[in-house]
Amino acid sequence: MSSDNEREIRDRLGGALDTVTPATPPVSAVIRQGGNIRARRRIGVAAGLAVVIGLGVALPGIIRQVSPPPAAPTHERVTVSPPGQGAPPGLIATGIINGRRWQARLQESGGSPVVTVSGTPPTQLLAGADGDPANLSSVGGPSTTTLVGTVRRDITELAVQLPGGPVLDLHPVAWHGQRWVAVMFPRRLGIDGIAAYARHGEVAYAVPFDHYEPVGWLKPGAQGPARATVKFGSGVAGGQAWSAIAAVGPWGRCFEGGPGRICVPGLSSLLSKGQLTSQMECGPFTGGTTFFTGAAAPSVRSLRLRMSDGSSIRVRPVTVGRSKNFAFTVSQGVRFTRWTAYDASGQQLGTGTGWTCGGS
Amino acid sequence: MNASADAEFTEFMHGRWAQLVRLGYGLTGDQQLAEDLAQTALAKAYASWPRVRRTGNPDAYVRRIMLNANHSRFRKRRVAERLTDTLPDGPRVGLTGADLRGADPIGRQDDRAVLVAALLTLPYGQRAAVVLRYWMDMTETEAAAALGCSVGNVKSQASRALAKLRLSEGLAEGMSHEQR
Repeated sequence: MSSDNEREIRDRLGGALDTVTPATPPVSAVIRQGGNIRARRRIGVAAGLAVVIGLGVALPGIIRQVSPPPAAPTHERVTVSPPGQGAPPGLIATGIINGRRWQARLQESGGSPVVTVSGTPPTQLLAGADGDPANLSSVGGPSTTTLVGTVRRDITELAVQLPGGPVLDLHPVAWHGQRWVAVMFPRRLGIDGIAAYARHGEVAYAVPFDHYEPVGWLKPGAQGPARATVKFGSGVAGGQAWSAIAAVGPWGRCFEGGPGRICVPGLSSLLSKGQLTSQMECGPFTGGTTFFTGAAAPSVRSLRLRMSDGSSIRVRPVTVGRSKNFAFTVSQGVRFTRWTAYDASGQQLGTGTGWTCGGS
Repeated sequence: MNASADAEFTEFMHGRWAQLVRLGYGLTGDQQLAEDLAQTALAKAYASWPRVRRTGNPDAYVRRIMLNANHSRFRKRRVAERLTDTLPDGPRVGLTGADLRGADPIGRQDDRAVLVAALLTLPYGQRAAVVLRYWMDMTETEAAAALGCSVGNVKSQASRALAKLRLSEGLAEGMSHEQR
């Protein structure tokens, strides 16, 4: 390789990229988006639009105080143990599911923790921040789910309630300045709840969405939002009917539809003050379309969404918690260029540029 | 996150925003997409800020997220980049290498267009290697860490990329040819 060529390309790159003038740093948008990332646990492709049905979820707050509910017939045998003395660095938990041993091990790659769980490929954990009281991510295997993450410094134990089965005790293991836990369970079994304990007793509990995704934590004794499902969008894309569903419950809110799922703890507004709309999730959908979900302020009665081909869509956001939500699809080769928000009297509240999704 | 950590992150973001967008532009050739990538990377860094801060090298962390996010864009969503011979706002006809390196802003914009068009003809790995090595002035070791690959891989990717760029129309003039 010629050093002249290297110098040439270096000069040209410098000259060319330095002419790029970025917009003002979107600090508030980044902080809001980052806060949402912390809050949610992404599972990947939703296996259909789940309907959340109360299955007698025992409040973990009373996991230790009451007898377990009448046992759902299960033959699953699940155990979890902290690593023993002399265990290799990064090993945070081992266990057995129906006679098969599993282990969860952490490594560092490029400054990020990567977890390797038996039977699944290594998974990078981006949301490795200190949890409050725990920050757990789901790692899916072919027939199992593993919860792995960090706990707050004062947490001595997490108690995981299996349906009709034993309570699994997770003891944090120190690794790279944080305290980690992991547990694997059969996907078909799921979990009913998780309670976090400090020295003085229980400090919080979580009821996972769909029996495997912990989202938000509640104080002991708190009930959290009542369970409900709300349809906040529907339509036809690529010849296929779709619906977007929000599942509200003690976990918070999980929005499902199209290509994925997003979960948010609690019922707080998803918009910053003065904001009328905000993009939530997007992704490629059936027939080359792109699927979008968004949040709108309570004052927004309807939205007109203009597309690059001159067409427009009118959507009516639906109340879910303290904000409204809506969903829509954009045809292949078309871009969403502009939104206009209207109040109940038809007065325009505001307008803004449309959204993009991964360059589409 | 507490107020002081928020303030620290805000300062970090203000200081890195332009560089990240330019890195994104070098990788994608699209300013809006570059800003989206930078925003996503910073949001993920914010989500893990206490830990990112403890690594002692938040820049490397954010760059890694950004490279991963851009790579995922190709891998998972199968984003197709249509390669064309001409750009919508193409360079002037008869532009020479000397013109491209001129100080006038129009020439510099044209240079950018030519360069980006040439970069977009490179496979993702080669493009990333070129931008990290020759724009960010990373060592081969640093680029390998950022890309999550071996030093040898960075060397070969950068070498192949330079060989291709040497042959790119518009870029070829002014670049040395080892064999003519």
